[in-house]
Amino acid sequence: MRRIALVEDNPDNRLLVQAILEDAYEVLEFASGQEAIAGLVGAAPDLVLLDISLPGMDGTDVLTWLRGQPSLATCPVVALTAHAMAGDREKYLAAGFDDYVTKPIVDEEILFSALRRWLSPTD
Amino acid sequence: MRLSVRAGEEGGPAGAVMSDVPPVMDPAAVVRLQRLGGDKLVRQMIRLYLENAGERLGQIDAGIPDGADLEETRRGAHSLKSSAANVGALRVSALAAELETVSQAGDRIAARSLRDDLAVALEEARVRLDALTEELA
Repeated sequence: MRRIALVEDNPDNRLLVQAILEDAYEVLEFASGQEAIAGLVGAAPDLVLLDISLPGMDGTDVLTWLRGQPSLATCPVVALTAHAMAGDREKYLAAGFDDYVTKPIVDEEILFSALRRWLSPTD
Repeated sequence: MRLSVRAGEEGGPAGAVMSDVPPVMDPAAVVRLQRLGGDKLVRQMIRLYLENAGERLGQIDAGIPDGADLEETRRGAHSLKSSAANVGALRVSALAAELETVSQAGDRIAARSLRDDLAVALEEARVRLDALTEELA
């Protein structure tokens, strides 16, 4: 089963994403940017779902750190955010995120298709 | 769009005078949670929302007074916006979204007014969600 690292501070959002994905993916949860930094290298995820608006170290900071880790530098990172303003998508893609999914996740197929787009179809 | 919820005015529901005020609850959100994870997920999501809502209102209040950091209010509103949407608390979510916008713009007067509307909507949603939790128990 492919492994998704979910970095999200709201416990209800973590629970919801877990409920959506758990039949298809192994989901590892990180409740803050600091937790992610402590555990992501060891977790060796196939993809990272990263909330932008984390307290303290935000999603963009985590992304910068992640890109500096040899084992994670090419790992796909999908931004998860409740900002949904015009131009946001371009802004996050320009910041180095591979894709962008908006919260609330009202249609889980949008999340699944973003994951499929970035996970290679092997194994 | 400026939402304005005046619950209890003319004894009617909050949306009576403003056609663009969303309903308190969207039942479809709960149906969706049920489909994803049964009654257990519905109960867990409602519990987490209610816990988070109290905390976030505190955070919103912390940034409201003159001289306080309105960024706290913005952060609280931002978090509440998606938590509320997850359980279908539409009016809370819409007011939180608007509070996020005005806080970001530094409009403390609008933020104060929206904070009070939000408190009313939070209570309306809490009553509905408590009733739903009891039905599922």
